[in-house]
Amino acid sequence: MLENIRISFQSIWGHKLRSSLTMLGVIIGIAAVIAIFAIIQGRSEELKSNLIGMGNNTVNVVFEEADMYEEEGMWGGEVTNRSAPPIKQEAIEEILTYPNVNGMSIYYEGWQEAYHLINVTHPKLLGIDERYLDLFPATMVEGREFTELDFDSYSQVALINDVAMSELFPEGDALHQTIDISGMPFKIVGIFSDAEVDSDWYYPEPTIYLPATTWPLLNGFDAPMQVAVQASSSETIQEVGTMTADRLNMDLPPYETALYQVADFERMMEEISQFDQAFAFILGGIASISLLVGGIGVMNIMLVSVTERTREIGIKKALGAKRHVILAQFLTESVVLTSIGGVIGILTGLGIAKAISVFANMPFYVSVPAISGSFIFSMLIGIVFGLLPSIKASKLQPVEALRYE
Amino acid sequence: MTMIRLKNLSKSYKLGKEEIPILKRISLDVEEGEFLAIMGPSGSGKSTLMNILGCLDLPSSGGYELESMNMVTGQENKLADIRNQFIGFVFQSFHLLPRLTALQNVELPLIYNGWKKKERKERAMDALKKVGLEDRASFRPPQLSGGQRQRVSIARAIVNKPKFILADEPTGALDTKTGEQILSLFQELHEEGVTIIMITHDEQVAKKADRIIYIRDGELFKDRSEDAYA
Ligand SMILES: Nc1ncnc2c1ncn2[C@@H]1O[C@H](COP(=O)(O)OP(=O)(O)OP(=O)(O)O)[C@@H](O)[C@H]1O
Ligand SMILES: [Mg+2]
Repeated sequence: MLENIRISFQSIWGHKLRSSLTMLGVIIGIAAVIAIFAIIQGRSEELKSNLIGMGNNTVNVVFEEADMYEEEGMWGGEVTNRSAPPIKQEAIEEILTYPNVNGMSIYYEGWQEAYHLINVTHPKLLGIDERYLDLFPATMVEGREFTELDFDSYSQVALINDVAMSELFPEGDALHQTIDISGMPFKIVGIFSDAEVDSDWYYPEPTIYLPATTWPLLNGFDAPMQVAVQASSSETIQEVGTMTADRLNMDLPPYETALYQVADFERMMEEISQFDQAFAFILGGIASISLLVGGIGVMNIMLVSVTERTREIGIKKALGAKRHVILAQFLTESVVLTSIGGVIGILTGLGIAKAISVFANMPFYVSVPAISGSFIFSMLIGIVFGLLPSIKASKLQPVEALRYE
Repeated sequence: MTMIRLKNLSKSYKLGKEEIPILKRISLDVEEGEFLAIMGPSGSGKSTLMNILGCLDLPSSGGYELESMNMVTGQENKLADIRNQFIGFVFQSFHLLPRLTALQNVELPLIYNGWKKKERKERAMDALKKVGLEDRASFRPPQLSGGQRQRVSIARAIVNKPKFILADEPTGALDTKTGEQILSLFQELHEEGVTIIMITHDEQVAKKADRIIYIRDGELFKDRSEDAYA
């Protein structure tokens, strides 16, 4: 067997150009599968980790009209414009003692213009509580975070990120300057960078944090609140989210029709994987066509090779080689040929996927099952399309084969 | 002791609807240790007869016994074993595998017989020594002269210690002098008791054999008949 493989390599090497042209179909097919797979898989893995837990096992508990998830599916439903009644401090403290709850934050979110002199930015504005930065850490570049005093005394202070800073202060030097939001002055006490929080396929956006206690100055007392809880692991997100929603719902007045709810991740996952399956289907189509073409190429060249080596087969048979010996020889050659094609295809595909992920700024995911599957599949092509030529070779009559010139 | 017995053996090929007889009711006994030459004009059926004797082809009718074993009903794998273990082939155009070395070519019959690598190499080397080519063991056929190639193929024929050697015009592609060397090799083997059946065109070559039989239009003659070679 090993001998057969060695001889196969020799004979493939002996016809370098012909062999590589033959392999091309298999190479292209496998490379396409691997590249597309790496990119799709990368996207959907990232999508999942972003959807579920925003990348850090955190989930939003949203105040919405009841049963929206049941009727509208994962993306539908409208957030109610009625704001929830204020959340009681005891509820928060109680939730923080639940198992698997790592942290919780209640914050406001909105988009509002901010000015400094003639410069303007349209940032994402967050009114954050003292626990927000524990859940979504920011890297401070300059200055400090908010202090307890800031929250308690309704200080008009702000943290801005580097993007907002570059828009408001093109010359730099933003710390301790005052910016204007809805006619209210806010003093910048810190500058942060959140590049690490967001993944690489979001554009960094200008972001400004204010103490949550100052939010009513801008938007009144009934502005809708966001509730985020962090679970200890991705497996417990759903459970933690549901427990939090249930606890918050306990405090709602009986006439309230809206409820705190958490997205149904299992359903989201299912929809993502349906999406994946659709892609896999298209992928399978592309792959099988090009691999079919590749396989036929292999069969063709193996038939040529059998004809060319008719005399060799005759000699071997005259010397006592049985059918299976000849069959094994040609089958090995065909499998070695397509396997080499498979390996080259896998490497090419990974290279293409890597290149795309670098240039298009997309995630790159190396899937071991996809690689080993492709390799096994390329061997299979060798067996399937090598079988007919090999059988033909093994059935040659020694007299006819020896007579062949 | 009789080694090979052919009884009313016939062979015909179908060409379209017509049956063309090539060998006609041939009966022949070959004794163990005999050196037999078969002569005949081109197209008379010599190679066809040799293919049947070598179990490369089956007769259309008649019997072929090798040491009382019936060779006619053999199935493919059994015939392969018989060729491998009982028969050594020497062809006019050598039929060596060009990509293998001389030694590897000689090893082939042993591989098909399931020999282990080390013993196989030793045995093949012994066979090459016997034909005086041990110093060319690692040469490939294209690097060897015609005579050397034929000696390699003789080494390959004797490596499995066959019951008999079938040689189809072994000197046909060689000059007289080289041909003589090959013939003396055959004679040497004959003296050691190997049975040899040799096909040839050449009267001088045939004379080295114990016995000559003639074939003409698919029929055997004990003596050279007048019109056959006119
Ligand atoms: N497969 C075949 N189909 C049809 N006819 C065949 C076949 N093989 C051989 N023949 C015919 O049988 C006849 C004998 O051929 P064979 O090769 O035995 O002759 P030969 O005596 O060896 O001749 P030479 O001395 O030229 O080698 C020829 O006429 C040839 O055309
Ligand atoms: Mg002939």
